[in-house]
Amino acid sequence: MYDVKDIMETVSMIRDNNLDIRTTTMGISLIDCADTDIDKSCTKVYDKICRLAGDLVSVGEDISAKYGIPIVNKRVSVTPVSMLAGVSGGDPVKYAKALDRAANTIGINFIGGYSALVHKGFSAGDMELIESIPRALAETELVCSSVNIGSTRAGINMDAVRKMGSIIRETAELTKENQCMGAAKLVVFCNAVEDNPFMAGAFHGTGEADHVLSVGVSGPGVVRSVLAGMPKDAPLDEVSEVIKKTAFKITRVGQLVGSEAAARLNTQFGIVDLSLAPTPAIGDSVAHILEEIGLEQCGAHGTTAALAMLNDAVKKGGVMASSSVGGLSGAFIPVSEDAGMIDAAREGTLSIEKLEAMTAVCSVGLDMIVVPGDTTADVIAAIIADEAAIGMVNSKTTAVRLIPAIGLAEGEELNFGGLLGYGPVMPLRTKSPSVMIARGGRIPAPLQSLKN
Amino acid sequence: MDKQENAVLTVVGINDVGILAKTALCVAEAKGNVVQVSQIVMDKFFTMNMLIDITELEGSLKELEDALKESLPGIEVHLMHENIFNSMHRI
Repeated sequence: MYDVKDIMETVSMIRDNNLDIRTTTMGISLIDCADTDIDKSCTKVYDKICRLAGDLVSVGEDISAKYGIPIVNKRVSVTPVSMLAGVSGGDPVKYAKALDRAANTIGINFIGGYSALVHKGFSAGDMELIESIPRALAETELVCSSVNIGSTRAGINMDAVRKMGSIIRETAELTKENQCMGAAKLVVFCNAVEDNPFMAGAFHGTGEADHVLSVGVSGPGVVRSVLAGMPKDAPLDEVSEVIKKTAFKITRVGQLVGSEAAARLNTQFGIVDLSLAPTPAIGDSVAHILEEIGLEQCGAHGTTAALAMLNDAVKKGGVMASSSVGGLSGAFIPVSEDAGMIDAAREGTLSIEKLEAMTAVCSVGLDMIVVPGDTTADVIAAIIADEAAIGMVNSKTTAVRLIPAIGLAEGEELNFGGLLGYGPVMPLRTKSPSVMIARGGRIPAPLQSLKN
Repeated sequence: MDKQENAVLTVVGINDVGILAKTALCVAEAKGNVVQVSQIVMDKFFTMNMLIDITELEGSLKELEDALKESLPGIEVHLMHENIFNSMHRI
């Protein structure tokens, strides 16, 4: 028989502390769907997704009932669509609509991969796809888009950075009647990973198998609750140890669910992404973990150090728990999706500069940040460049998902609903970076030695 | 014969006459076999953990859990396949 304490711990993690499997994401390669006729290509895309991922939702629900653990999202990621657009030509939005139809047919929450990888330059289909992003996101419901504009080995493509500044603005403008929602489904990456199961940045990399099933685990509430049970004078190495053990348990559940889902869907198991992904629900916040470690509010001095320790401990615990860890793996800090971050932003404790520093030590980047509606495309591009530079120099993934709140000013709020949450407009520096952004070209890849 | 599969049932609530009896009846009706039970009554609170052999179970775990919830109103019932405990608590 199992130890009663262990049983009650598991039950309470799920019942009281929002432990869940955040997403089961099937990655599907669309390379064999490419056709010089765009309509034929779209039909093949739709058919392949429906054929392979048709049971994704029902299998997820079955496993959820079997283990008594919620599986919140079921999603699909596909090969970057720019590759198909490069073969077929034509209006890439047709692909977005085919993906949206497939997502609706199989009943998933999001489909990612309306993407282009342009960190070193543009090839056939890339520019067409990027220019179509605002329309694609305005005319579809479930499609997510991402663009990789830099990497440690290639440097930063500043022409793409400049372009993405205006694309983000245009995307928000086209969806301004709907809380500028389009921009919440668009991520700009540096060092994008090929096996990320989390939206909006998921795509199925070309180095992956034809189809795989990956899992993203969550559990900030569980970590916070365990820390709440520790004495306030426990040294930080003990705090780190407890986080490690908790991350281990959470990841084991991810591994269990992922391998069973993959077997039932006749696909191979991809990776467990051991990210602490917050939701706007009370008790499911990464900011509250940092506050539990001992900060009055997230954003206070000390936040970067606390986050660095948290991020590292999560990885150390998770790596031992799963034979296949990948994706983004770390702590997410999406402002509008985290109750504690929303409060800290409202009170002005959390600034964009502090968030930028935090992204140097944790997973991903400036995520789900609402910025003033009159922010220029050049300022957005400059924010992307800053964030990409952090990723490029530190050999890590960084991303930017900003939502210009068209028509709103500082102090007002956007509300996306559901897991995407809500958040106040955060102030930005208003001095112009336009001359630098207009230069374009490339920031060369950084030196990998003389690390200081 | 297939390998034996177990599920762990947790029942927590205010103590009342017949909780164990009602639980056992539901499990038996679904052709589940009770392997082990541990129960604690502290003050008026009742906590029970039951290991059930579900190899011959008729219907799904969800159906059994729903039946238990219906027969034990106001009491928390969680029924989970044992693998989740194996994964989390054993290396």
